Amino acid sequence: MNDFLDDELKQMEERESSGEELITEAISLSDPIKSLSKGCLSLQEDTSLREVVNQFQIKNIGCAILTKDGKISGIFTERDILLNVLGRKLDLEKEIVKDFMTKNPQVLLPTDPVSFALNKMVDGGFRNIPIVDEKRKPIGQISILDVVHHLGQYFHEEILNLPPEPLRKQNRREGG
Amino acid sequence: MADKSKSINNVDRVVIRFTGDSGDGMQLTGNRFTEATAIMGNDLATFPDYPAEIRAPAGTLAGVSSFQIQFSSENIGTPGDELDVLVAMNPAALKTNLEDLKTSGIIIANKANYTDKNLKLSGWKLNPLEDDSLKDYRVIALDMTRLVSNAVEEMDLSIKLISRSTNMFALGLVSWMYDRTLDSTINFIKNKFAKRPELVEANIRALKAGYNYGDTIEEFQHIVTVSKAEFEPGVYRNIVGNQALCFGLIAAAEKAGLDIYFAGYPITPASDILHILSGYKNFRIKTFQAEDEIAAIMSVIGAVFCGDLGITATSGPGMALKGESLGLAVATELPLVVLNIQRTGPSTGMPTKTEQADLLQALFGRNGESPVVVLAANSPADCFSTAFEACRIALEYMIPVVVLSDAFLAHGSEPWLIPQIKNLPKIRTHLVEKANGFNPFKREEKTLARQWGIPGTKGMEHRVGGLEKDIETGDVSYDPINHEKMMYLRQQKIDIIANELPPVDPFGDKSGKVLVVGWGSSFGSIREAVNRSRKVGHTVGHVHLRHLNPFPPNLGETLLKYQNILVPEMNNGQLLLLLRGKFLIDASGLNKVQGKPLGVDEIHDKIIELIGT
Amino acid sequence: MGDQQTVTFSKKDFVSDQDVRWCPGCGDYAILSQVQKVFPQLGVPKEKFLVVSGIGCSSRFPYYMNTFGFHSIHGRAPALATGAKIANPDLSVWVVTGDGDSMSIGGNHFIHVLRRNFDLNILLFNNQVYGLTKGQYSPTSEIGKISNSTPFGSVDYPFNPPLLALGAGGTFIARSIDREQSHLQGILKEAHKHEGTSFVEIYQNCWVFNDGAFASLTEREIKMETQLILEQGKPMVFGKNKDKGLRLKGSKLQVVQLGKKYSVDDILVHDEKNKIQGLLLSELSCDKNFPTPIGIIYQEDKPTYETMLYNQLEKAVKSKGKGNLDKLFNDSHTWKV
Repeated sequence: MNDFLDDELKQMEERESSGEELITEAISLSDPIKSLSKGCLSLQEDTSLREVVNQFQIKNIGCAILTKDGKISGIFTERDILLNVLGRKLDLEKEIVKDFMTKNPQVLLPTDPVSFALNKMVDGGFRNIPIVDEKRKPIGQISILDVVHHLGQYFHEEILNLPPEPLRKQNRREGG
Repeated sequence: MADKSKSINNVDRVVIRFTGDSGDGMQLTGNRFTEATAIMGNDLATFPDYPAEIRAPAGTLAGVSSFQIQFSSENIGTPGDELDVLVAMNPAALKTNLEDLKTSGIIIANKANYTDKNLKLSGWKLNPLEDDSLKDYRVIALDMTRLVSNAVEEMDLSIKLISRSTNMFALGLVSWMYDRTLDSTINFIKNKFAKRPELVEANIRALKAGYNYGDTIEEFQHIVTVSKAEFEPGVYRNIVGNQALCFGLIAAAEKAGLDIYFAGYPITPASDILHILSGYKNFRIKTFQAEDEIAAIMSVIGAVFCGDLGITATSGPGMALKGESLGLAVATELPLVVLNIQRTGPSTGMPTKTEQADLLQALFGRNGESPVVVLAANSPADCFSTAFEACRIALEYMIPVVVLSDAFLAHGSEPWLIPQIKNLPKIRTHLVEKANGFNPFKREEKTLARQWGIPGTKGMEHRVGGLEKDIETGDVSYDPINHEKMMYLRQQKIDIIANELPPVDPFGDKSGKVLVVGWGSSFGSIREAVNRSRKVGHTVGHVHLRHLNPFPPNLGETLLKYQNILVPEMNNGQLLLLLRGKFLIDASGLNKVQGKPLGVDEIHDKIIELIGT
Repeated sequence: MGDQQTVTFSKKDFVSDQDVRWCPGCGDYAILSQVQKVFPQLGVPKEKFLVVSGIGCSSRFPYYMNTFGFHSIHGRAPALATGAKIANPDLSVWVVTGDGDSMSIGGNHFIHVLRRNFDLNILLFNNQVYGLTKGQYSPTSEIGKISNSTPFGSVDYPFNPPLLALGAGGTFIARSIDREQSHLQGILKEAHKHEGTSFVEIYQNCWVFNDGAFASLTEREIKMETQLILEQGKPMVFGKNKDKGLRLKGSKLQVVQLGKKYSVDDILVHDEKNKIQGLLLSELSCDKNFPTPIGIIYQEDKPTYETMLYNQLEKAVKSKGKGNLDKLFNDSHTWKV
């Protein structure tokens, strides 16, 4: 019984020292985004649509960064396929991605913080943002899913170690 | 002290339940109230109900923790059936506990926690404090958080610390309402949180604020007092069942002049016995957390063979595992004590809920004819006497003993008259010092106990084992007549104990309409029900069996003196089966298998029903 | 240690009055004989011996020894022995068990007693079969074994007891053979000397249900080629002409012929304290291309469970004073009526 009293006291102390601060403190929004991004698919802007789609399918990726003379010139994603390509009578062999890409997209530098990436996504409504070096050569990209994963890792206990249907069925007791 | 302009209302008894989230400190609150009540001289009984989850999310139904206390000017044995007061610190606590509150009972709630989020989490569609769902009760809904906040205003504390101290406000208020003093709680706070002076200060202020609230606010018109109860003179302390078991064991070891060897395996609700005994190393108590239940009892057998007082503790599932080993102890006629703190079954059951359905398991749960002595404790304080008695029987008769307790007794508490060690009876053992005349298989006539010659003593080398042995020489024997003789011997070892037991002396009427025969933790409820029925003139008796195998000597003839026998049990009729089978008597059962203790009303109603037939 | 022992014992003091009931020709007889010869030489007073067994042919052992003995239940002897050892650490405790008793039902207790390192001795009579219950295969039987319960051959991979013991943290792991009388005696003495759990695997022949299981190790003509007798500090050489040895090639052992290419200096020296070598040596018994090591495979010194427990008890008494019950009972808020 002393164990239960001690355990209760421990819980009271945990409750006292935890709280809402967790969300704002633990997100190190100043983490540079390079820790988040993986590689990117980089293609020349005159690549045919057919080839771009092939690359998407082979690499299981939904975003391509387009270049001209080694520098970033545009971005083309699966969303563009949905909105601008599907359903139109286009010859994918003949069409080049330059005519469908978003030209001169917003970019991020590898040292930019996560908060900045979020800012662009929130402000501009983008799901993917290319990362370039000082010479505007694409070196990676960051997607909204990368940010979500980052949050998951940070709040390991709060996010990953949750029971399957948290807080929905907490009306029974168990124990062992 | 309290405002004299308030009126004073004296009652016989009060039942209060403190409920809230684990993080709200309800056990702490309950414990403090209990101590203050003990000081006031009332008889009391408590029942804590902890959440079984290690960390249930705050505000959920699974995280509700409660502490119930009944205190009275009379002798009581239960923590009460219906509540007079329900302190519900959050909506989840209210939801799970409301059904036990009597009509026009008092609800004390911390309004601040009845937020939309908490209401939703606990399944309330609307705020019950604001609509008429609680119209049958008297509701006192206060924003305790704000009130405490006011009390600690200049201290500049975090909102979390303030929240944490609201339990003290509730305690202060209830203490005022029932005329309890605050000194013991204040002292406790000063000691417990000595390392955090701001917490000490916050808690004390919150406590006083709650007390003063009752005193000054007009809504509270009267104080309820409960007079001192009559106690046998002596020194008392409050004791929890499992703790009392441990004390009984240590006392027995000292009176027998033996060292204790305890082996156990963690299992709800017996683990604290392992924890408690492990802390008493300066008593030279050897404790062993075995790799499984079977290893625990086997190591106890090994230790007993070598001369220690051997004990193991477990619950239902562990008892099932220990079956073969316990049979070995029976076959080798060694003294050991097995504590079964019963919980609901079958299989894993509801580990934190109480039941008394392991009686037949204790009696028959082994292969072959393998009888053991079975005892049952009937209240938290009685656990001391029962444990002591178990060790006495085991050692004096060289026989294994099973003690049945349950989850309710394990964590419940009541006042205990502290015995003086020098006044406890000495326990005789069959340890043999000299090899002259030593015969490991010669049994003493009075007790049929073997001589206890332990390894390390010169000239006493012998072998024991689980194979059937010759009744004289102890050699392995397959002889058919010998086997039957040994079987009768093992039964006789049990029966002979009854010769030394005090005869049954029913409480109440020695003959009449109904005899209620109970065992285990239902003692308090049965006693009250019997008292209630006798007050209106019915002839009712109460026998509460501590010895279930063997039964006390004159149980059979006692049963014949009543027209009806009622056996209330938290199982599907186990003692009932035994009484009917052994005494050929048409006894009736009152069976409740809900993981909850038997209530006074249920038993009383059944008594009346039987009288009517 | 202990008593002033002027009385010396001999084998016959340890022979009990029971008729020994093993099948004639059983390897257990040889083992019993060695134990009865060794016990009197250990300098332990007779009354301090405790022999504990489980169930099986091996487990009849205590009845035939004139010491304190406990014939307990299947697989649970180590657990009982630990209780005895904690109750009285001065006893010389010997657990006699079989391959079914210790590796099957008793597996759990086996690994835990090794882990905790109680100062007791475990003698595993490994005959690779269940004898008493008439011929089922056991956890040490080779895969494909035809037995009463596996008429089509077993599909089980067997345990390797020394390897299991090593994995469980055993501090003394040795092997001997029922027929190797003097070798077995030596091992038993070493086991007794070792302070900690001493595990000795004894290959034992059950001629009724599993005859010849260890024939390759015991036949006169071939045993010198198949046995690797381990000696601390000596190179691991074997063979009738002492012309073969074990060498470490990378991380594996290799049998080499001594002669032009390899001399005795290339041969691995046995070091009981080397756990990795112990591991490699343990595996050899499963490999037909290697000799089977007998002797002490691994040994280390570590405080025993009961020593540490009793230290805690002494310390507690020193710091808190001997337990006083009246004080304990009143150590709470009390009130007088």
